[in-house]
Amino acid sequence: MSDQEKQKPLDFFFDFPAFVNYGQHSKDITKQYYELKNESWSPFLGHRFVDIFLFCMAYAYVRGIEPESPKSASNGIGGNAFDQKMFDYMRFVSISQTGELETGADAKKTVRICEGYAYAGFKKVYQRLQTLNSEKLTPEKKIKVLIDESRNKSKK
Amino acid sequence: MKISEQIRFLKIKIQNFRQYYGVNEIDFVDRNTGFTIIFGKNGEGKSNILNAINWCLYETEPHGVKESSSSGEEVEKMPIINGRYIKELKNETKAEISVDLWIQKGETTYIISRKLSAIKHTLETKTLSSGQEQILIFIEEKTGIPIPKGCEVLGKPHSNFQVRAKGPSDSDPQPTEKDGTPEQIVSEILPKELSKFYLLDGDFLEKFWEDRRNIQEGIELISQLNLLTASQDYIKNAMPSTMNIGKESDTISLEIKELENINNSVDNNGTPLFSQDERFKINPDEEKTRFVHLSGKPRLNDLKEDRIKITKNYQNIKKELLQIGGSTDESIKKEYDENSAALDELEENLETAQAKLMKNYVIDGPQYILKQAIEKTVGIINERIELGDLPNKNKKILGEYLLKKGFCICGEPLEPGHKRTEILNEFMKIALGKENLDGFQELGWKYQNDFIKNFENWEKEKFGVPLDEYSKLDDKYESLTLKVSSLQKQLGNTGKRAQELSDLMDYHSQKIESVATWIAKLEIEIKQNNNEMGKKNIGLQTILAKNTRATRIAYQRTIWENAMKKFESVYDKLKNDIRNDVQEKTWSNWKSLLSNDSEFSSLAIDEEYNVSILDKHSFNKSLNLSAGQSLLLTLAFVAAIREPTGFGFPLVIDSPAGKIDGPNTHNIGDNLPDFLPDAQVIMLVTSKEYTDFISPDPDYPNIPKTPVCELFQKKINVQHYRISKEKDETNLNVGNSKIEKGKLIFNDAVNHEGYMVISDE
Repeated sequence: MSDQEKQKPLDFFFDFPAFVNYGQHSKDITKQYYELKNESWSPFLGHRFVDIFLFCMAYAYVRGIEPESPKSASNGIGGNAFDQKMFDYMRFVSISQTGELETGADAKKTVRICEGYAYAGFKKVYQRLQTLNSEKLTPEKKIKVLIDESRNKSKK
Repeated sequence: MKISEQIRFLKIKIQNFRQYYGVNEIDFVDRNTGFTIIFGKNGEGKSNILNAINWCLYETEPHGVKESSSSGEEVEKMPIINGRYIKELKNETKAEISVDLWIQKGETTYIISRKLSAIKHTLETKTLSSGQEQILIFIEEKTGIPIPKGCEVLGKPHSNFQVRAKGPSDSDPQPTEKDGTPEQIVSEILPKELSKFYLLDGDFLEKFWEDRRNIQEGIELISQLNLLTASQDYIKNAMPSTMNIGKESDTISLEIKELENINNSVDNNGTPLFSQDERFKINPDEEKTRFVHLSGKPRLNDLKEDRIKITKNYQNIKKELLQIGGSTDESIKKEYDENSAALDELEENLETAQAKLMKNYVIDGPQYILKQAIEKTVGIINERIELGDLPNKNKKILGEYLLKKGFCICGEPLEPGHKRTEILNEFMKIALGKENLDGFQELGWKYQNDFIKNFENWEKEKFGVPLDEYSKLDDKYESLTLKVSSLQKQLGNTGKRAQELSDLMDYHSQKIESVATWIAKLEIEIKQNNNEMGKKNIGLQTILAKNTRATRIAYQRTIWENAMKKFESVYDKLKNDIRNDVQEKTWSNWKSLLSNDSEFSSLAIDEEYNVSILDKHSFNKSLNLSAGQSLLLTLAFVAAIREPTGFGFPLVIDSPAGKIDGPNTHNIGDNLPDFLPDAQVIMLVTSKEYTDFISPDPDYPNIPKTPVCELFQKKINVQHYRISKEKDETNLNVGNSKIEKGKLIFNDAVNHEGYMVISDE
């Protein structure tokens, strides 16, 4: 996605919050986000918080993990880190969860729903990656496992 | 020892010595009858027959220091007292082992007997992890022989050495005390120094040429030239002394003596003096440390010998380096460089492919995972569209159109203020407020067309293709990494070895240079000393001439000196004649043994006993002989040194063809009886050396595969003996070998057609 597209105001997501809560109230979560972003064993090496956030959100939603709202805290992932595609993913989660298109048009509601899944999902994903670490899988194999697990669950 | 007397072994009786349990006897046949062949497998005790002879005559056991089992595995040393015998013996009883050797010299038969007695207390043994029991041994300090722990060796008269002799007129062997001690008599019959020339093992035969002294000793001892040098020493000692005549002459005499001592590297008592410089070793782990003589001719000889050894080593190192150079060279380096560059490029591509795959997994992964949610959302959107609920923008357009026309969709007029008109305005207002939902229509279409309907392609594009590309590159990378690593190893190993060899060559080159400098200096020094002695002798003569007593002494000295000169001249002539004879005979013997005699053109032994073997291009190859060539040359030399004097002594040869190839083994079988026409020959052989068919060699297609036993049979009779060993699974170093008369059979009924030596009893 080009910079121009990124900056383009979205037609119906005009009230997207300045920050998205990924669980930054917890130093552990922040530390673990950094771990996934920076450690060579992590499949998210070199990626951004927002990428991890969305992946975990999708993982948790599809796997039926109970969403867990993170405690409110200042800052978080900057809203401008999200792009159109990400908005789409978030909307798919919020709409399919509520069955209402209107939820998908409400940025605050959508973000809150997604924060819950992403927060709960992150804990599971991090834990799962630790298990996969002990199996000495390569990063690409680890993420493949996570994706396949979600897809299989999703098919059920 | 009298020259020309024939000496031969008649019989040996071995009783409880090492492997040999009980009494074992061998009757050796004389040369007129043929050869005695003792046949046995490795580890069954062939070398200990050589040791039995050595122990009986000289109380030494130099052959095969460590025995090996039939599987080639090294086992602990075998005690000199047979293990089975000592185990069977009751505690606190006397154990006796003995070797008796019957030797005929001229018309006299000597019976030489050595016996060792020991009291058996309680044997010390240990059980090995294999479950086998091993007798522990200790090395007896005085003799260096291995004794079972728990045994106490008894001295004389229980352990003894005796010689009895039986002349033509004697009915029984008689004691020989009146002729000297047993040691003196044995030394008369077969001096210990000679043993290495008649009790031969393969190892000695192969390494013979590494030491020039072997050639000197071989020629001088066997031709008895040493007796002449001993006579010279006797004359020297018998010469009237010039000491105590006058102060001046005494001083000069002492100075002359001092110079003589320097030239001979001895002290005033005649004890050899050595420096702290170590002699050069080809195999530092195997060779004993010896020191270079301190001065004079002995030092010069040591250095010359060392120079030969260093040069030989230098040439071997150079050869290896050349071989390495030829095999590594540029081709491997080029291959390594090319593959290494390809690997670097591949690594970059692999990283790119991996990054793309990972990016797709992370960025597009959520979309893939959320497929059902997307389908559900698209379904909701489509439903809303079908209901006309979307897009809201259309609601506005329709409302505005109807208002403009002034008619409702039902056909009724839309008048201002009318309820119908108000409802339409309200409908338009709501639609306008929900216009933000209209984007879902586009979202639905987009995901329906691009993702849901096209899922397979999407999946392939996002994950399938990148994964496939990455996997292919990864496989390629793995195999190329292995290849580069193997090439690198090849380069690294050869490079490392080449560096080692290059360093070794430098070291040897410096060593050769420094030894050459020492030799040159020493030669000058010896010459100067001789000149100095000459001058001092003239001075001494002048002083002595002034004194009546001294004049008489000087006259006597002149007579002795003349006698010595005569001896020297005879010695030199004999030495030259014998050396020439040995040289010619060795050359002819060797040629008959070599598979390819055209490789060499001549053999020469110079006055200093250095050997030159020239090839057809006149290059000296004496330092480049193969193990087989060297072994055959020694055999040829040992046969040759018997010729000049006609001094006949038996030859006991252990494993002569153990390390040589098929064609040369054939030549031994074909020629040994011819160039040893008078020698009593006793051979200790394995099947490989004797009964096996000769392995074909593509370089010598004309060499028949006829085994040595068959070749011998065409020329001589052979008396066979067979060593057999009972298997003993429970004991390690007990020894269960026995010697039986054997016979050679051709057996075509067994697994392989061929010759066998079997027991004749």
